[in-house]
Amino acid sequence: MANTDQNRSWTRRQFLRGAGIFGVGSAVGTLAGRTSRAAGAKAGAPSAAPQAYDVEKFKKVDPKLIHYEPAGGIRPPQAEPNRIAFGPDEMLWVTSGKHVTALDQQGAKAVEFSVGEVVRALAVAQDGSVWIALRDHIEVFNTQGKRANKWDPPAKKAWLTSLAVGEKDVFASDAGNRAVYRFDRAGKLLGRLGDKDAARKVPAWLVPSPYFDLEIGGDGLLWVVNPGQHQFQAFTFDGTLEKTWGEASFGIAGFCGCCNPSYFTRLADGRFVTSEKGLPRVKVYSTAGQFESVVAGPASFPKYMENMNSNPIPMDIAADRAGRIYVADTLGNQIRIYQRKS
Amino acid sequence: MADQHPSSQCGCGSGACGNGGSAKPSPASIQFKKPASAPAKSAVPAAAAPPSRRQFVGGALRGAFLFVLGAATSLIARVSQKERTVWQIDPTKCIACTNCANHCVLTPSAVKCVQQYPICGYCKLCTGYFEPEPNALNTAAENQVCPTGAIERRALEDPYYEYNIDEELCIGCGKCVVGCVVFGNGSFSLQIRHDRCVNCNECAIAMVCPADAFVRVPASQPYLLKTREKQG
Repeated sequence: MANTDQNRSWTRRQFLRGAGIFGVGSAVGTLAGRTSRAAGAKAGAPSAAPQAYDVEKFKKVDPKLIHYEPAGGIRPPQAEPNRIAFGPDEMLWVTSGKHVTALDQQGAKAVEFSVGEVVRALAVAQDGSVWIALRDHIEVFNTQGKRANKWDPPAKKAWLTSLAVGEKDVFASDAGNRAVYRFDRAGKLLGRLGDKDAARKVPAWLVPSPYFDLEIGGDGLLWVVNPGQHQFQAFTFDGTLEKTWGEASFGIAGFCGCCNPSYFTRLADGRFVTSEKGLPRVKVYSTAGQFESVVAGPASFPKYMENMNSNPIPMDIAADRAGRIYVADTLGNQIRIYQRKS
Repeated sequence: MADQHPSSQCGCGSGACGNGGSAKPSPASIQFKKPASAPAKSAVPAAAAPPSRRQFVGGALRGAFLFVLGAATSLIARVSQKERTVWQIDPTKCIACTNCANHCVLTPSAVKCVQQYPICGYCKLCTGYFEPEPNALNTAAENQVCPTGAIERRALEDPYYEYNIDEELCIGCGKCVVGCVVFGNGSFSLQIRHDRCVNCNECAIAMVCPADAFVRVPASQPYLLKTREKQG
């Protein structure tokens, strides 16, 4: 027992050694903790969970739903392509800031001209004339880029966002005044469509941001996106609401947020192709508005996902006669082309 | 003292004043003399006597000195006022990461969500107000994005709704800002409220801001608000 007790007692040297090791360990631990905390703070690692707006699960798209694949791209001569539209001769017209460029089927520049301010909307008529909307007025150009007409602003505080040109009529959407105007081709204002009218069961336009697209369909109706209501609305040219479809949802079949779809186009058979901002998604819907497939999901647009929280930008779309879908990738400085998977 | 004009106190000593002074007086000789018997107050007042040149020059110099001193003080005050700056968040850089809620020296944070009504779309389905997939578009707590219920939703004419921020409840987490910027039009943004901010030299949030969105702005214009043009 005496021996055991002797073994248990510490010498002064042992005690000092133990205390020294403990002290050094504590100092190292404290320093490491501080360093890691400081590194975390410097990296700005945000604290998680209840305060985070979580849309992670919506960023993933089931691969089985993606029926299209990339088929190359076109780098337009001017940076940051914004609006795109096909002409009757399959020339692709592209706007980039104040510039308007026509590209032939090989992607070579055929025509280029510029205007006084940023182009907000673009349409090419069946006769080849090019119609552009600046912030508050419309200008008309011939196929060579020579200005043929310049209209007066339709209203104060106009913020024109889209154009559709028919045989006799021109339609323009105005996000500033939440209005759709009908003009004749000489620029005479014939009236407004889609204003709230309970008697005719027309809901009000909800236009939170300057994305308010419209297009004349092969069915002779004017199709307009009511972005705040997440709906397509089809009107006769005299303003009767004929059809409506669309639902708000973060799910793949719906339109998310409060300003979607931002842009749309029609395939030759009348099906709809839509483009959304926020979660950048390009999708195809049947003529009756049933979800069919995905052209490209958020994973296809990493630059847009990086800028998602500070500057979400929608991408305009167009379709050629072969059914290929063109996406104006503003941040990537290119026109992406997608074709149906074989 | 004998050379001094007896009838005046000009002290020129030169006769230029017309008092017939002769030799230059010694400094000691230049002094005011009190009359032997002080005159009555009703007699000729002292102010009526013209000041001497020295008095005049001395007074002018004093006046000039005071003028320069005043101008310099005013200039310094104005310059120092011009340079006074305060912290603010640049909404075009902010990514609403939640750091503002958790790193301010104040509790709750001096950073608050602000609503810019001219930009707001007054949406029925506001992505700054509702969770990404709400059960219903009503004010039930489980449908709301805000963890503290600081956003008030008020029905206007169908289909429009107004959204107001209750700053007493807002903790500046920016969750609503993300929803509004990403899927809406960005009328919600985070700003430092200067009725709360203590304007630390080294702002604790600025030190950890991953987007370098904290900037110094003139105290006379302490807020950085979005414009519809920029946002559009």
